[in-house]
Amino acid sequence: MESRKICILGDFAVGKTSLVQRFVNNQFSDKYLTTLGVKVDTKQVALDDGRALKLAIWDVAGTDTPTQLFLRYTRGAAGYLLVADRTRPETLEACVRLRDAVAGTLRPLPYVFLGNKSDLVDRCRLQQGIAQARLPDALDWLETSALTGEHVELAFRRLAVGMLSKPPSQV
Amino acid sequence: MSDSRLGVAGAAGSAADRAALEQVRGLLLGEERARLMALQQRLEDPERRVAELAEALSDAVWLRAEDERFIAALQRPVDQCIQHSVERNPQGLADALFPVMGPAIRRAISEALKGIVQSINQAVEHSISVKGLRWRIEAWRSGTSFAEVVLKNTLLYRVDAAYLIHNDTGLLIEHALAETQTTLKDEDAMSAMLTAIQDFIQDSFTGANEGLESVEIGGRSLWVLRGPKATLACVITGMPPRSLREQLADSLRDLHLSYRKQFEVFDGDKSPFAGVEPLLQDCLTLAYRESSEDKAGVNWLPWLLVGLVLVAGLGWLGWTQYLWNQRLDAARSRLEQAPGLVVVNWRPSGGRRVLLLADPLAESPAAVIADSEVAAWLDLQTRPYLSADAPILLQRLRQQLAPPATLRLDLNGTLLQVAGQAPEAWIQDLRALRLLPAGVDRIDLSALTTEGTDLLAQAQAAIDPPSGVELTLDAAVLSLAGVAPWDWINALAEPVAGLPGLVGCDNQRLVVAELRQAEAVVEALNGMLFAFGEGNQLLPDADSRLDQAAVQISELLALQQRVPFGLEIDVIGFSDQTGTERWRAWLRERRAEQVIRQLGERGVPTAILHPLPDPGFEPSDDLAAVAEQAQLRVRLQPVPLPPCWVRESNGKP
Repeated sequence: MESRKICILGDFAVGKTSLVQRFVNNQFSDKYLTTLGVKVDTKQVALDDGRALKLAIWDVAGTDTPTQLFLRYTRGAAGYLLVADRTRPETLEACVRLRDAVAGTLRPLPYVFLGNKSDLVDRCRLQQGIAQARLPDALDWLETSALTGEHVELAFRRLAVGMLSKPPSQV
Repeated sequence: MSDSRLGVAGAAGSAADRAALEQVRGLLLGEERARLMALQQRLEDPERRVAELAEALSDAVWLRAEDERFIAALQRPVDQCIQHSVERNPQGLADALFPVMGPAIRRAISEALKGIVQSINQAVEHSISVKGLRWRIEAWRSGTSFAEVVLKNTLLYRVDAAYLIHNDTGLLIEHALAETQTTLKDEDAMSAMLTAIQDFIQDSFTGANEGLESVEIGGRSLWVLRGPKATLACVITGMPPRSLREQLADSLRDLHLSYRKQFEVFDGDKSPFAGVEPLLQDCLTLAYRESSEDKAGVNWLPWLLVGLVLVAGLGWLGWTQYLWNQRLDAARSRLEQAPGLVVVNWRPSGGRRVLLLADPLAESPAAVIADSEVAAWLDLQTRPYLSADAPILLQRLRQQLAPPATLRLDLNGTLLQVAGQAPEAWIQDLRALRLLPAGVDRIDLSALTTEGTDLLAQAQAAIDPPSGVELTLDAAVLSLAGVAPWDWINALAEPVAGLPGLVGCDNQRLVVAELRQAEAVVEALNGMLFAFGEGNQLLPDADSRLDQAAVQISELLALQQRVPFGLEIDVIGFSDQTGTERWRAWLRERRAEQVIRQLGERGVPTAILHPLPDPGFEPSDDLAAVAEQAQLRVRLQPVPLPPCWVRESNGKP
């Protein structure tokens, strides 16, 4: 079975770890525990065409500025999820910076943009259109909620399909 | 037409031209032309080219033997050739390889069997030993199998698992596990985290090309060998030698040589790495611990003997020490209980010194201890002090007050009780004391009486002396003088002993009344003469004397019944100087016997009458005139007076 390394990137406290936990263990905790360095989980994804892909998900500590270590962690990834907090529009700019850093340092990789915390409907200020405008090269733009699980599975699946259809070497 | 002409003319001209050209060439090129021709012939002749290439081929291959590109280029055709050859004629290759493969296979099988046998031996050996029991407990506690515990404890080291990890992606390319090992929960996550940690370390220690080399996990080690493209991580149980690391590094180098291209383009697709697993399996080596110590077996007998001797020695030492401590404790107890001694400091720091306060009147500490060895061992140091202990205080009071023996001194707390009789002067001195002796607050004199005032009267009443007996008291000693009956004297001790305050009784001046009476009779009887005529015939006037003597002897016998005095009467026969000596001796004997017979006839027991025919002396002058006589000599042995009770000097009976 093939496997791929993917990263989940974004600013502090946008919900990266919660998304991974929801996807891998189908669990959610409202307790905030900051990720130090990186935490790796794996999950097997069954694709529609019958293929299976094992994802090694690198949950990289949140940052708005790409450091050397950040770039080291993203090296070798086949794609990544870029997460912003919909209640904090400024986290979109961090996503743009991180995308540019990854594309500039390594190479352009397929990625899916996630506007997280959609369950906080009243406080959502980041509109999808803005994200599409700022990150036009994303495979997709999804509104997710680690709390409800909305679009979480879909996001990983979309990235997996995107990676397989666009091998990194051909991007 | 012109064309054709031109053509003919042209043909004729070209032939001429060619000849001219050839001539010019010959002139210009000369020898070179011939060489060029020869070269062209060589190039156009395939056989010749093959021959020449064959000649250079071996040198060319030799020159490029180390070139990876050349090797890679050759790999495929060689593979194809071998494959083709095997397909066509497998026997040929098998025959060719047999000399190499045969011994290798035999050795591999032999090693495997040896390992299995050794494992079984160790498992069986350890399953019935003490060590085995311990390992079974360990297996039970840790929830692992017994075989695994045996292996853990007998293996020097074992590479349990080998993981090949792609450096860039952190993805697990391939892994191999030892048979006894169970797979990890998530090898991919482990690989990725290990890569992340390596990244972190390399980032943290800037400039360091080396990354993490080993991680200790309980009793296991994780060795990490990082190559340019891939990392080999090995889980190792036990204590691996350094040489193992070099061996593993060689394996990683071989993997890089074989899969360099595949590593570079790896994105998660593991299919190009199908041949990696056997190479990783080769990394799973193991080495057993040298168990010569176990096999040789420890000769436990000398150790057991040494242990027993040690235990016995320690036991004996402990016992003697215990006994010695008991003696020391007893000594301490005696010192603490002894009046006039106070233990101030008993063997500080476990030494020998003992500091005591000692009253000058107290017994010496060594004497109190009564154990000469202990007393000699201890360093007994004394400091003087005045004791208020009752026995010592009483002793001091006796020294100070010098009381008469009749007095009894008692202490009731600080109250001195004086009881008994004392001379008037002593009592006066006591009353005049201004400073009471130390330890005494008050003196009770209520039981003190003046000596001699009523003791004599008490004695008089107690013994009821017969008239003629005089009683005197001197320093509480009763003196008796005068004539008294034997029975009274004999019964005197009991009433005298019961008199309080009396310290003694002197009866040596008493005279037994019965003895005095007997002495008077003896005096009358002694020397009584009985006159004989010729021969042994008593004269007629002897009868009255014999009667008188018999009466007096009866009186003595009556007195002897009351007082056990000794009574013996000698009857001496005398004779004149006529006749032979023999005749005279016979006559004297007959005369004494005659008197005894006469007295016996008058009721006197003849047992006390002893004939004395030869007294060994001559009759006195007055008797010599009347030598025809016999005489009585009475020997009275007076009885000694019975002892009377005398009080000892210290006042105790």
